[in-house]
Amino acid sequence: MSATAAQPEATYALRPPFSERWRQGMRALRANPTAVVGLVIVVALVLIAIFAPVIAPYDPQKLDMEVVSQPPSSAHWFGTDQFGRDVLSLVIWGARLDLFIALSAVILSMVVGTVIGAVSAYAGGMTDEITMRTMDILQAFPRFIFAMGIAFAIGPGIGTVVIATSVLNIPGYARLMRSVMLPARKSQYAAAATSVGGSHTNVLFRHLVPNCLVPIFVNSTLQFGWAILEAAGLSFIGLGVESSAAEWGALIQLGFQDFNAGHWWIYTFPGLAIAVAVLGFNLLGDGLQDMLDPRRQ
Amino acid sequence: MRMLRYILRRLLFLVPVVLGSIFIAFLLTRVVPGNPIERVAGPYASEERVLEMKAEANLDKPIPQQFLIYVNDLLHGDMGMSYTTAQPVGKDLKERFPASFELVMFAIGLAIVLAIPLGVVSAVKRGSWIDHVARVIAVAGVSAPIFWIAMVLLSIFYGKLGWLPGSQGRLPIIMSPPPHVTGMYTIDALLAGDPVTFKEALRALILPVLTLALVSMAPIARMTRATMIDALDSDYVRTATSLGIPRRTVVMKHAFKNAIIPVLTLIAGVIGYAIGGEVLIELIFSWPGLGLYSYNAIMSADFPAVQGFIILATCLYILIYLIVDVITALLDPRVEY
Amino acid sequence: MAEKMTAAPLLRVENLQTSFFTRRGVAKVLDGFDLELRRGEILGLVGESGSGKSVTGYSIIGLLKHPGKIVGGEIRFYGSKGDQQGIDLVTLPAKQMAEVRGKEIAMIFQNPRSCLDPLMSVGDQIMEVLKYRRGMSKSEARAECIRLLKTVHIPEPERRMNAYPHQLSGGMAQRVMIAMAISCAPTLLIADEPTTGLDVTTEHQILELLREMRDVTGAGIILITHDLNMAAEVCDRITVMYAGNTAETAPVETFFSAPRHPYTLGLLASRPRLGEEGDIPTIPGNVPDLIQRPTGCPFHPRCRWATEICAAQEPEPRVIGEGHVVACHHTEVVARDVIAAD
Repeated sequence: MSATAAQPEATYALRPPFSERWRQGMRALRANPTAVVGLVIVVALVLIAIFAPVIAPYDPQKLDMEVVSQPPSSAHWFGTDQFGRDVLSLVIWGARLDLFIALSAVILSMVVGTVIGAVSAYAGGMTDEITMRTMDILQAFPRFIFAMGIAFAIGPGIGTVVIATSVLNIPGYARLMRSVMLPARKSQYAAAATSVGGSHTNVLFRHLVPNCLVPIFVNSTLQFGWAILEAAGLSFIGLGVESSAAEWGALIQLGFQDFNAGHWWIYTFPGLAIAVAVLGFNLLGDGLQDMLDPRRQ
Repeated sequence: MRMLRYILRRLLFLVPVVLGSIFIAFLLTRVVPGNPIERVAGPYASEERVLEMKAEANLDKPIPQQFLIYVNDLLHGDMGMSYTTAQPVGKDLKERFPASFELVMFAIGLAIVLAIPLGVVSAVKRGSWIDHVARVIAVAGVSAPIFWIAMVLLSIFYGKLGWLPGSQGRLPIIMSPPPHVTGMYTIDALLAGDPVTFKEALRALILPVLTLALVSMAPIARMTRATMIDALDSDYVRTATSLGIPRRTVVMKHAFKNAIIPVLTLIAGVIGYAIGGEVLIELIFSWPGLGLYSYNAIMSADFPAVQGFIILATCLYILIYLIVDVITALLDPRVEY
Repeated sequence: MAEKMTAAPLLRVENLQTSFFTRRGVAKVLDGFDLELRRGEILGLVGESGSGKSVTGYSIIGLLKHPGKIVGGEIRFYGSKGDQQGIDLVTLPAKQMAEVRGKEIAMIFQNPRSCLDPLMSVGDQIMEVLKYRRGMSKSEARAECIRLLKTVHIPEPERRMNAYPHQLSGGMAQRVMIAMAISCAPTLLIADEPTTGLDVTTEHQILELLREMRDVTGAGIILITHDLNMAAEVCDRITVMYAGNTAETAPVETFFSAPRHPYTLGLLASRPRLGEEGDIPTIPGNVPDLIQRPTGCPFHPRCRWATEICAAQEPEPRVIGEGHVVACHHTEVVARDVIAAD
C-alpha cells in the first residue's frame, strides 16, 4: 500500500552481496544522524585512548601532595584527587584501560559464544539440546550478580574483569550465532561446499561463519556499552582493577570514599566519561541495527 | 485447573535450570584461590583449629561429595552458617529480604507507572516533543552507570539542597523501626499508625528508588514505544479504524493490549537487572538489604553467604519469569496451556 | 441485477492525486485517477501490483498512512443519506470521516487472519463494532452478532463466536471480516484482494458471498484484484488501472469481448488459463518508477503501438461505446489490429 509496493516483495528474498549492502549502509548512515553522533563519539574515544600519553596534561600516576583534592581550576580542569593526581589525565588514560577491557571482554565472549553457537547448530541433536539448556541456565542468573560471583571466584584484577564481563555475554552470542546458522546451514553455501568435498570443519569455519558475522558484529557494538558499564561496576565495588588504576569505575570509587567531603569532581567526570562512551556505542549499535535489518528500513 | 497444571509443568521445566544454577553457584565458591577457612580463622589460629573448622564446613571432603551435601542441606532449608554473622545464611537472607524487596518493588512500580505511558504516548505521537523526551530518558538511563547516578542524585538532594537524607540506611539512626509485620518499613509504619516513621522511611526510600527506577525505566519505555508502533501499524488496528471504532478504544484496547505482552517479558529481565543494581545502590545508600549483605559476604570470602545469595537471587529471577509466563498465558489466547 | 436499472451513482472519483512523500522523492502513486461506482454494482479494479489499486481503496476510506497524502482531486460520495450533491471525502473533516467509516464505507483486506485482533474472540470484535457504531446493548449485540455470522454462513455461530482468530481458517476469518464490514449496512464496500492466500474453493465461496452481500444489502462493491478471472466471475464492470491512472473502463462483457487499451490487451494475454500449455506471454518491461514518471501516457515505454504523441501528451479518456471509456491515443489503430488478429 505504500510507495514501496511498487517494488516486488521478492527483493528481500535474495540477499544482495555484501559490498552492495555496505554501500546501502553508508547511504543509510547519512540519513541516520544519531548513528553518526555515535560513530563520532566512538572514533573520538578510540583516538583519545591511542594518544592518551600525548593528550594528557599530566602523568596520571604522579602524586602531588601540594594539590590534594583541588576543585577544577585552570591548571587542573577536572580538579585533583586525594593523592594530588590530575583527574583529567586519569580520565583520559581511563579511556585506554576501559576500552581495552571492554574490547577484550567483547572479543572473548564473541569468540567463545560464536564457536559454541556454530558447533551447536551444526551438530544438532543432543549436543545442540544440551548446549542450549546450559545457555539457559547461564542466562537465568541476574547479570551483575553472576559477574560478582566470578570476580569473587578468581580474585580481583584486569583479567578477572574481562572474564567476568564476558561470560554472561556468551549465551547471547551462542544464541545469535545458532539462529543465523540454522537457516544458513540449509542454504546453498553449505550444500555447494560439501558437494565439492569440503570437510565438515572446513564448511563450518570457512563458509558458514563469515556469512553470519554481520549480525554478530552489530551485536558486539551494543555489547561494548554493557561491557564498559559492568567493568566499571566491578571496579567500583573493588572486584575489578586495583583501586589506584586509571580506570573510570575505580575513580568513581575514589570519589565515593571522599563523598561526604563534597569533592564532586573526583567522581562526576569519570562518570560522565562512562555515560558518553556507553552512549556512543549504544547510538552506533542501534543505528547499525536499523540499517542492516531490512524490516526496519 | 488447567492453569494450575500449566504452572506445575513450567515449574517442572525449571527444575534443571535451578539445579544448574545451584551447581554453578557452588562451583564459583569452590575455585577460589586460597582457603577461605584460613582467611576466616585468621593468621593466629592453630593448625588443629583450621582443620577442625574445615571438617565442620565439610571442606575436607572431595568436591562432588561437598555438592551433594550442599544440595541435601538446601532441600532441608539449610544454607549453611555465615562465617561473618555466625548466623544461618537462610536467617540472614530472610532478615534482609524485606529491605531489598521494598526498594525494588517501589522502584519497578514507579518505573512501570512512568515508562509505559511514556512509551505509549511517544508511539502515538511519534516525532513530538514528548517522543524526544522519552528517547533522551531511554538513552541516558541505559548509558550512565547506576552507582554514579546514585552519587550525583545524593550530592544534589542531600549535599547541596539538603532536602533528603544521605547515606543513612532505611531510617535515621535515632529512630527505631516500626513493629515487624511485613518487614517493609513504610507499610509497617502505616499499619502501626505511625506517620512520623512512615514519613522518614519514605524519605529514605526516595533517592535509591529514584535511581533504580530511572535505570529501569529506560528499557521499558523504549520497548513499549517499539511494540506500540508495531501494533499501531498492524492490520487489526487498521481494521478497527476502518470500522470507525473510536481512536481511544483502538489505541487502548487493541494496540495497547497487544503491545504490552512482549513488554512484560522485558520487565522480568529488568527486575533481574535491578537485583544486580541493588548491590551497588545498597552500598551507596548503606541500605541494609541483600545487596549490601552479599557485598560484605564477597569482601570477607563468606562462602555460604555468597552461595545463598546467588541461589536466592537466581530463584527469584526464575520465579519472576514464571509469573510473567503465567500472565502472558492468561492474556494471550495463542499460548497453549 | 435489478439494482443496475436504477444506475444512481454512489461514488465518483475525479482526477484523484495521491502522493507518497518518501526520502527518495515524491512518488505520485495516483495521478489523475477517475472512477465511477453505481449503487448495487460490483466494480473490479484491476492492475499489476504497484498500479495503485490498494492506494485507491485507502484514499477513499481515508486510511492512507504516512507518508501518503491526497494532494488533489475529488472523491464525491452519495451515501445512504440520499444527498443529491454528495459529500467530498477529500475535504471532509477528520471527525466526520470517522463517522462515515464503518457506517457508510467499509473495507475488507487481504490476509484476513492478521486483520483480526489476536487477543479478542471474534464475537467480541463484532460486538464491539455493534456497541460503538450502532449503540447496541450487550444482549442486543450478541443476538445481532449471531445473526451476522449466520448471514455470512458460518456454521454454529454461537460456538464460533468464542473462537480466537488463530483458531480460524483464512476463509472463516474473511467471513468474519465480511460480517464486521456489513454490520452497519454500509452503502460502499471496498474489498482489497480479499482472497489472497486462500485456496481456490474458499476463494469461490468468498466471491459468492460478496455477491450475495451485494444482493442483500444493495451496497456498491469495489473489488480490488490483480486476477482477471476473478473479476470476470463477479464484477459488473471493470476498471483497469495503470501507474495511478485509469486506462480503460468497460462493462464486463465488453471488457472481455472488445478490450481496447493496449495495457488491457497485455493483461488479458498474460492471464493464466485452464487447460492451456506453453509460456504465458508477459507484458515486457516493468511498472514505471512513480517518482520519475514517464512523460505523456505512462504506459508508452511498454506499449507496442506507442508513437511520438504518446511520449509527449497524456491521453484523455474517451467514450468509445456503451459505458466503455479508454484513455489511449491510438484506440482506432489498436481496434483495427485486434480485429484483424481475430
